[in-house]
Amino acid sequence: MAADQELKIVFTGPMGAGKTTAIRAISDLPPVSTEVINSDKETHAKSTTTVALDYGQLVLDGGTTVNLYGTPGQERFSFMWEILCRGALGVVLLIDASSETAMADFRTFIEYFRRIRYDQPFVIGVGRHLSQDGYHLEEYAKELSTHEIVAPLFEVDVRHREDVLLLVQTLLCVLEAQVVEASHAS
Amino acid sequence: MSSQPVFIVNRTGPRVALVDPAPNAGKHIATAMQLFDSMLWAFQGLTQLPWTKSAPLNADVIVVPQGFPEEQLMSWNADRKLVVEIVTVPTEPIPDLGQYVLTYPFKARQALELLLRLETRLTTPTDVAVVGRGQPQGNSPDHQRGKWEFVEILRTLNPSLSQKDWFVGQRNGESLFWLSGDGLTYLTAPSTAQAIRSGTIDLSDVVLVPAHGSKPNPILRARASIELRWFAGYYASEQLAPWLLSAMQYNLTRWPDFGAIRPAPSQIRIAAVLSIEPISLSQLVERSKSSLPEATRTLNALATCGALAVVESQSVAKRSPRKTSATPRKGFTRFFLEIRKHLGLGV
Repeated sequence: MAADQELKIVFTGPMGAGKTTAIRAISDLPPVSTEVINSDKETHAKSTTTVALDYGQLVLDGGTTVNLYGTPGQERFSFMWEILCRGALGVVLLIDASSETAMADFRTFIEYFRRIRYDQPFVIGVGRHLSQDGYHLEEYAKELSTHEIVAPLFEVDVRHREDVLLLVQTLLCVLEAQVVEASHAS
Repeated sequence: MSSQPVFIVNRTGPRVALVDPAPNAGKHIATAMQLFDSMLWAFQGLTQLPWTKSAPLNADVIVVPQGFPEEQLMSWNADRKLVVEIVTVPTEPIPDLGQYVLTYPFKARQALELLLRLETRLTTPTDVAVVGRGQPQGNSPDHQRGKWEFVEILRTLNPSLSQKDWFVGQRNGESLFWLSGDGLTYLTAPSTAQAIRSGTIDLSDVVLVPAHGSKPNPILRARASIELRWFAGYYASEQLAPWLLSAMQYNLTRWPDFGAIRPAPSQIRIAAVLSIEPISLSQLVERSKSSLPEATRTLNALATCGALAVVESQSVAKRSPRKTSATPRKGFTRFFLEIRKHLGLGV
């Protein structure tokens, strides 16, 4: 068992999905963000955006450190996604359902991240959008089903810490179930 | 919401026989029988099991026109066949025959709901071993089935039906909630939602009444009906639902929206274990470190949400070991304890 393996959880998703907010909600330290003025206002109206990564940290009682990384949202930085996800305990994908490109973004990210490692614990949070018009998470569920992916898919609001914790708790439960299964198999 | 709560892999579907009406039975009854026949064909893929037509002798279900001789119906009933009578004049089913009645003109939805009810009945074991063993007298199979009536109604709702057709959920004449026809959204008062979530309201005798064009009060908040399904299934019984068997292996085919449900940590753990590999109830208790009642209730809730599939053990391919992520220096057991404590997550 290696003594210096990095433990990390990766938050990914398109620009404006709430990765920085989610990391801020649970990190022990104020997250370090490499944000710059957003020059791509056509894609998203936010004033700044992450160009390299966000970084937060959990320091557990026994001294173990878990790093929290937020990937840059733009697809042109996808080479970073793979680097960050390598060896991660799991990946949290966040989608802003109010974005016009939400479904296309969703498709891009699930295809990309399943390719990186199909059995990596993977949890999806879709920004809350239940309205009087009905419940639309079903469309995302159908898309997952089309890709034959069985992954947790929840409606969340990452501005609320308990919603981010629900995603992390689920990620840990999936990882734990995998570890237990591996111990039974061996 | 998925329209396929539980399916049985490799199971042969129900066989149905349609008995032609007598030549002098009248035009309406002949049309009604033809309509049902064509709907049977049109519903292929919408039902949970594949229906095939057969002769009455080999059929599980026999569909007869109104006025069919009662002695013959009783004989089929003695052979454990289910009988559906298609009528053009409303009539009462013959008592003790377990008979189903469909009144012409009927809507496609009514016919589909009938087929789904028949499927549930046909896949429900008659001996219900799990329920019967060591239960108090009031927990007979029939009593158990009564607890599941509302859940079975929910299972027949289909997202392909119209979102704009509303049903009112009523209990003892009191309106509790509005449910959209596609079964995805429901509207209710916050206090009722809280009662549903805490199990303080008994949903077993709730009936869904078509709203006939009426619209819900706009002050009611729309909620994801997965919440209603989950808690209806979770609180229905501490025994397995009639269509689940303790000896079978189940796995998760989709995750219900836990953002709407807000399950307990133990329930997330149970879902996670089911998502990894097909597993029986006793294995689930062991691997998820849950109590038997909690595992049973969660399995019931997942099934009510259409999130489970039955997998025959011989069809389960051995998975390759998972690729490793980084491993905590002090081992995973300690790591899970420490990170949950740190984040204030329940164990």
